[in-house]
Amino acid sequence: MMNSIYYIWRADCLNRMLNKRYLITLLFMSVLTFIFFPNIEASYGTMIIHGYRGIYNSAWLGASLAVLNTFFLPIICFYLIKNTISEDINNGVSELIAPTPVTKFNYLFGKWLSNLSILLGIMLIMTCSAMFIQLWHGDDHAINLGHLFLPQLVYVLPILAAISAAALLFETIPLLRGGIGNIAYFFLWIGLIVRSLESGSGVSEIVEQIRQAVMIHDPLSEGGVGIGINIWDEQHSKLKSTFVWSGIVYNFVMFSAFLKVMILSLVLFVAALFSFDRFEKSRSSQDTKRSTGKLMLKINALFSPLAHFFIIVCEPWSFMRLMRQEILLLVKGLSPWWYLAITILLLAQLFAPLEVVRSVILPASWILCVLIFSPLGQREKQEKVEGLIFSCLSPIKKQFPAMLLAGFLVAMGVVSMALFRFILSSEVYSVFMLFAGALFIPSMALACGTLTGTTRTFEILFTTLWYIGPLQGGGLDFIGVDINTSQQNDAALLFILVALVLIVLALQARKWQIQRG
Amino acid sequence: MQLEINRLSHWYDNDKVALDNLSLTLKPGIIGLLGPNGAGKSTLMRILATMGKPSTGSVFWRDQDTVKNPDALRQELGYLPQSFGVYENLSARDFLLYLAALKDIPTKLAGKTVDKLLEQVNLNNVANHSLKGFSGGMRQRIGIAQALLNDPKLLIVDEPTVGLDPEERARFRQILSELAGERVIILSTHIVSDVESIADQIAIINAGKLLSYSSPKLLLSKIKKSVWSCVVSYEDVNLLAQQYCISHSVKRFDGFHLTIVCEHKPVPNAINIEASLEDAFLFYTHSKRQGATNVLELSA
Repeated sequence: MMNSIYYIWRADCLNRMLNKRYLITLLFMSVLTFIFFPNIEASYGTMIIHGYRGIYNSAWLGASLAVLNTFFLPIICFYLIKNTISEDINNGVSELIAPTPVTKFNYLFGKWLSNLSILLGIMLIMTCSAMFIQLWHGDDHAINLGHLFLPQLVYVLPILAAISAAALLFETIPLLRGGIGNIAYFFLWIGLIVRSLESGSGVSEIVEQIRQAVMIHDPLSEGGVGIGINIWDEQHSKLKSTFVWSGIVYNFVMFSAFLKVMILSLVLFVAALFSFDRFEKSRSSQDTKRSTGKLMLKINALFSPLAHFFIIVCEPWSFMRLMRQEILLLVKGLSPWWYLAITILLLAQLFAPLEVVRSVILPASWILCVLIFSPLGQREKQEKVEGLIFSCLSPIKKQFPAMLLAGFLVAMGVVSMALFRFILSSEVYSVFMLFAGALFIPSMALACGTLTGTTRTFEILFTTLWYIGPLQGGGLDFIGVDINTSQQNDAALLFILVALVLIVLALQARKWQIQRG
Repeated sequence: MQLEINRLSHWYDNDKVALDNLSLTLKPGIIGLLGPNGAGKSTLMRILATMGKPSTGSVFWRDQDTVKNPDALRQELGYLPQSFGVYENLSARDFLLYLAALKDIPTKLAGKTVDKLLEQVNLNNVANHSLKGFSGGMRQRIGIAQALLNDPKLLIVDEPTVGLDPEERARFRQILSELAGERVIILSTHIVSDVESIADQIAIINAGKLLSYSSPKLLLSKIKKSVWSCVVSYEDVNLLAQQYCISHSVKRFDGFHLTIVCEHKPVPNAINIEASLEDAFLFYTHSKRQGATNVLELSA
C-alpha cells in the first residue's frame, strides 16, 4: 500500500515540479513575498494595525506572512494544483492507471500528498524569501527560524492541506473539473472562504495579539486592521510608525483552529474519495456528448434560419467563411441551458430598465461567456490539432484575425439587444464602452491562451477582473456600469488600448506556437 | 483458467449498438480479435480490461464476475490501450516503476522487471531519458512494457503495432509468441498480418456481433472454395468492384489480376485459389461476399 502511495506521490511530484511552470510559480511567489513586505517609504502597506506595523524581525515576518498566506494562498494555490487528475485524463495516463489494481484511496492519497508537497514548496520559498527580506531591510539581523517557520506550520500548513483536498474534490466531480469549477471556487472564496478563515483559522487570534501589543506600545492609537494591499489615500491614512513585535504566544484557541482546519481537510478528502469514480465518467463522456446531441439538433433547427443567413452573407469571401467557422467553434456544442440563459438575457436587455441592464444584465451576459472565450488561443493544443491548423495557409494573417473577429462578434452578439437600446436612446458612450469591452474580452482570452497554454488563466483573471471591475465599480469596469465614471476616466479608450497591447502579445505568442509546432 | 464472455451487449445513448449479445470462452493462448474499424473491438477490449461496464451481460475470470468485481481481474491483467499518455517529465524507467507500484509489484522485483522489459522492448539505452523526447513508436514500446510488468495471466493488447516500424512489429510478435503458454492473450487489430503467424484462435467481429471463432486452419478451410483468381480488363475491374469483394488487385501486362472473395464463381475464367487469412477476414466482414446473383459476363 505504502509502495503505491509513494510512487504515485513521487511520479506526480516529479512530473509537475520538473515543469518550468512550477519554477516560474516559485519565482512569482517569491516576488509576491517581497510585495507583501514593502519598505517604510512605500505608498502601500499590507498588514497595518491601528496605523502601525512591526519592524521586520523574524517574529513579525513569520506571523504576518502566515496571516497574509491564510487569505491569499487559498485562491492562488487552488488553481495551481487543480489539475492533477485532469492531467491524467487529458494526457491519457488514466488509460493505464484505470485497469491496475490500485485502490481509490491509494491513488487519491498519493495525489493529495503530491498537491501538498507542491504547496509546501511554495510555502518554503516564501518563508526563505521572508528571511532574505529581514536581512535586506536590516531592522533586526537576528534570524529566528522558529518565529519564521512555526506560524507557517501552525496556520498555513493545515490550510494547504485543506486546499489540496478541496482541489481533489473539485477534480473528482465532473461538473466542477473544468471552467465551471474554477469560477465556482472563485465565488466560494469571495463569499465564504475569506470569512470562514477570519473566524475559524486562528489568524484572528494573531491579529488580536498584535493589536494588544500595539495598544501597549501606543495606548492612544486608533484605526482599523488592514490586511492585504492598502494603498495610502483618504480611506487608508499613511503608516504612523513601526514597533517591535516579540512573536505569537501560542494558546489552545490556535491549537483548536489547527485541528478544525485539519478535520476540514479530512472531510474534503473523504468527500473526494466518495465522488471519485476511477475515471468512469471521463471515459463515458463521449456517451454524454452523444446524449445531448439530440437536444442540440433541436436547438440547431431553431437557429438554422439565422445560420443560413450568415452562410449566405459570408460565402463570397474566404476570410468571412473562416470567421464563420471560428464562430461555430466558439458557440457550437455548448449546453442547451447556455443558449436558454443567453436568450433570456437578450430579452431582458430589450425590456428591462436601462440602469438594470447596465448594472445587472450586461455583467451577467458577459460572465456567461467565460467558458466560451477561455479556449481561444490554446484550443489547437487542447484538441491536438496544431499540426493541422498551423500547417494551413496563413495561420497568422488569416486564422488569427478570424479568431479575434469571431470572438468580438460573439461578445457583441450576447449584448446586441443592449447595444440596440443604447443606440436608440443615443447613449453614445455606452455604445463605445460595449465595443471596447467586446474587443477587450477576446483579446485577453487570446493573450492568456497563447501565452499560458491553459484555459484557467483567462477563467481566473477574467472572473477576478469582472468582480473587482464591473461589480465593485472603479477603474477596471470594462462594461461601463457607472457610465459617468467610465466617461470621466476615458475607460473605453483605455480598454481599447489594452486590447491592442494584448492582441500584439497574443500574435507574438502565436508565432512562437507555430515555430514550436 | 479461462475468460468467459456471456451475452455481452453494449449500446450508447444514441442507441448505437457497439456489442450485440456476444458470447465467447477464451482459453490460454493467443486470440486474435479481428474486425473492421467500428466493429466494436475497442468497446469489447475496454469492458474486458475492466475499463467500462457493459449495458448487459457478464464477464467471468476464474469464476469471478469482473463486471461486478473488477479487482478480481486487475491483479492478473496487462492492458495496452489503443491510445494512452505518459508523464513527459519522467524518465522511461521512472514511469514504468510508477506503474509497477500501481500494479502492487514489490519495489525490488519492480526494478529488475523494469530493466528486463526495457531491454526486451529495446529501450534500455534510453531508460533514463525523459519521455518528452520519445517518438510515437518508442512510447508505444513503453506501453507494451507496462502491459507486461505484472507478468499478466490475461494480456489484452489493442492495436499494439500502431506506430511501430516493421522491425519492431516483428519483435513485438516475437515477444507475444514467447509469452504465450499458460496465459490468455487477446490481440485486437485490423491488421491481419499481425495475427496471421501467431494466433491460436481467431475471433472475427463486425457490428458488435461475433461472426466466427476458430483456429486459423479451420477458418481458412471454411472458405477454401470462396476465393477466386481471375484476369480482367480495366473496364471490368470497376464493374466487378461494384458487386464483389476484391481482396487483391495487381496490374500486369495482360490485365488486372484480381483475387475475389465470393461464395460462388464470379466470372467464367475465375479459378479457385488457396485462401489467406485476409480473405477470410473479408469473407466474414464484407457485405458483398455473395456477389452478383449470376456469373458476370465480361467484355473481354
